[in-house]
Amino acid sequence: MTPPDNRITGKKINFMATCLCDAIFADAAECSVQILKKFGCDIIFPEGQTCCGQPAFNSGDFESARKVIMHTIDAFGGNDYPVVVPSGSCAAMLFDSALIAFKDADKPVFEKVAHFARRVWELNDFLVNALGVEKIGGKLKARIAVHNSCHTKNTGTPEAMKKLLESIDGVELAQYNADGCCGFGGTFSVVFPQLSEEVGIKKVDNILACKPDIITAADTSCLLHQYGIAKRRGLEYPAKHVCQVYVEAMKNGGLL
Amino acid sequence: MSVQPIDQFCKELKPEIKEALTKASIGSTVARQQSLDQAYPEPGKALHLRELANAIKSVNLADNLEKAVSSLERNNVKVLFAKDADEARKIILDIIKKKNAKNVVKVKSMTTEEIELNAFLGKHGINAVETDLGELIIQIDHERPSHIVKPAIHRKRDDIAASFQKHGIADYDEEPTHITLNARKYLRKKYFEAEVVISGANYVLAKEGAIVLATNEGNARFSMAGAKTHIAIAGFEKVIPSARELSVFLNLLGRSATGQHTTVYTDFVAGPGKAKNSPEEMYLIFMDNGRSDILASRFAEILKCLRCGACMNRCPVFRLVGGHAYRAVYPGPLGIVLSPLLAGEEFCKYADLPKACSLCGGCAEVCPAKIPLPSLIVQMRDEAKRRHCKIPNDVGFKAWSFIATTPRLWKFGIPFNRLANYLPIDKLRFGTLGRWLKARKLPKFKGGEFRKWFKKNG
Ligand code: SF4
Repeated sequence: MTPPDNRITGKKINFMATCLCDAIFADAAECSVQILKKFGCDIIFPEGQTCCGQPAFNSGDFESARKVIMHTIDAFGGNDYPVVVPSGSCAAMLFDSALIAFKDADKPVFEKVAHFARRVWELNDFLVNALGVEKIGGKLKARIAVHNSCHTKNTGTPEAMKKLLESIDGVELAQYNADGCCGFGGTFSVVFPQLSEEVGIKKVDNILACKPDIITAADTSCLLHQYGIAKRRGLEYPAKHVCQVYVEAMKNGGLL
Repeated sequence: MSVQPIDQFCKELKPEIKEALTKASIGSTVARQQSLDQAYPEPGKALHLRELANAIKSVNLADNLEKAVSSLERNNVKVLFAKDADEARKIILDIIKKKNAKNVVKVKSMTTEEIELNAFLGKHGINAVETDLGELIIQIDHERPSHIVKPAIHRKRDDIAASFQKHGIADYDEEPTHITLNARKYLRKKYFEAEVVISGANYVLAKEGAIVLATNEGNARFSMAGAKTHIAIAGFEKVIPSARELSVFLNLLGRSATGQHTTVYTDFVAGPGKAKNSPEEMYLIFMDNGRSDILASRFAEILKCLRCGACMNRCPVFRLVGGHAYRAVYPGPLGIVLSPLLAGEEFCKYADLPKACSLCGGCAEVCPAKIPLPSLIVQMRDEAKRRHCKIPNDVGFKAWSFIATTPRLWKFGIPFNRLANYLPIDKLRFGTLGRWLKARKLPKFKGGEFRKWFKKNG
């Protein structure tokens, strides 16, 4: 997943909650907004937004995906500000996969999608590489295992997240192979329950072996899957979206 | 709702085989990384080399093919074309019959696996013996390779020793060096008996008119020492411009495959009679078998594959199930793109394969030819839809996309998923959701809460 060149930046932004935050992880979305505001962003939340189209795209239903992507582009069409997303995979869907879905489209349509791609940012990538944020600061005494979600490969997200987490006083990042897939893959986990579960168990065991106080990621979907697998096997799994970690640290440090 | 065959395969596969597969695959992935890091410590250098490999494979194939044919013919190689597997098999059989030959030795070649050559020759009374150790092991047990580089990756030494005993190759001895030694003794005889050698070609050099064979066991050289006739078969995409470009590939192939800086033997065969004790006659069959259709499609990039196997070594699905799960010659990320395409009319028979991927992107990170595998994989899923293939256990998105493009419905529906907190869905054990929940627990639904919060606090 490679973000496009010439990305659109600025402090006036749109926030895209993603369907998972809309339905389940309200806390992650709230913390994301708090963090963005703290770093000076003026946030618009277009009410017409729904989902990025990833479930259909990944399943190869490009027709449905195109409809949802177009809907999203139109939902954010009221302005030309950046669209910040608290999820690496939803962001990658809109700045990379969308271009594949519209590959054969007419030129003006494709260009509309390509232009929108330049507006879309994953939140950590946006903070560090668009706004130039150097640190989160604050305090949090915790050993943290980071999961780099597969869709953030080749993007600025993993480095940005590492930098921000390391800027928190008391945080210790667990060393392990952070890039392994957790077996979720959206509908993959539905269509291939056995494979997905076995890959997931490996990932969860791998993470729990580092004895973390917190497991974090820039994607709620991976955490949902890992949490689900661990819980079903009776294991504790203290998973939090990375913005929840940031908010906690800043609150502890009296910064929020 | 039926089950995906690969998922079923995973369920039924013996844990010790899974373990062997996982261990060997991870081992190769780690070795690959180490050897590339060691050779190219400068950041970006290895990536640059991979980009170069991709670019070289992008150069006009038709032009190079034409050049290759004239240089090969200049070197007294008889060049033939086969449009499909059937034709390729016939050409090979004809040559063998013309030579009145009965005994053939084979140098490991995925292309001959693709056309199921051994079984075909067997039916016509010709005894073709594989000379690569891994290939020999699976051949005697009538298995298919489970990996394109390590065909016997799923086998353990004790059962290999038992097989050798069963087929009269040697007494039971599971010591790995002895297994190799026993195979060597057995094969020596075969090299002497062979009248014909059949090989693939890792590369065909257009300018020089030569084929290049990369092996680790020296079996290509041995095979050529006895046989009087050499038949090589290659997909036409194996042509590269010249020996100059070859260095890029040789630097990548061994490292990507096994972490070796190069394969142990690299043989250049530039026509018959060039070396002492070498075949007097050489044929090269360029096979299409669906490749020109692929070249003209949005999947053309897959033809740049070097057959190194790095993508499967890196794949979380392959690591659990191995190559046999894919029911086709080419497994793993490479195979789930290539196999349905090569099946031509029978595309739909393999349309479930591209589904067996979580889109983790690991394969694209390791592919020496920089093939954008995940992107090709999702497009294959789209292709299956376009061709109206029926895929077991598939999920439909029509209703979902309707709701997701209708904000009123979406906003209306989202708070209602909170109802799920009060329903016993967590106890469901049937249907798709039930199967999913058997292994996973869902957190609490909080539908609509964020939107409410944002109105107040945003
Ligand atoms: S697709 Fe790439 S990684 Fe996979 S076998 Fe081919 S060259 Fe190797």
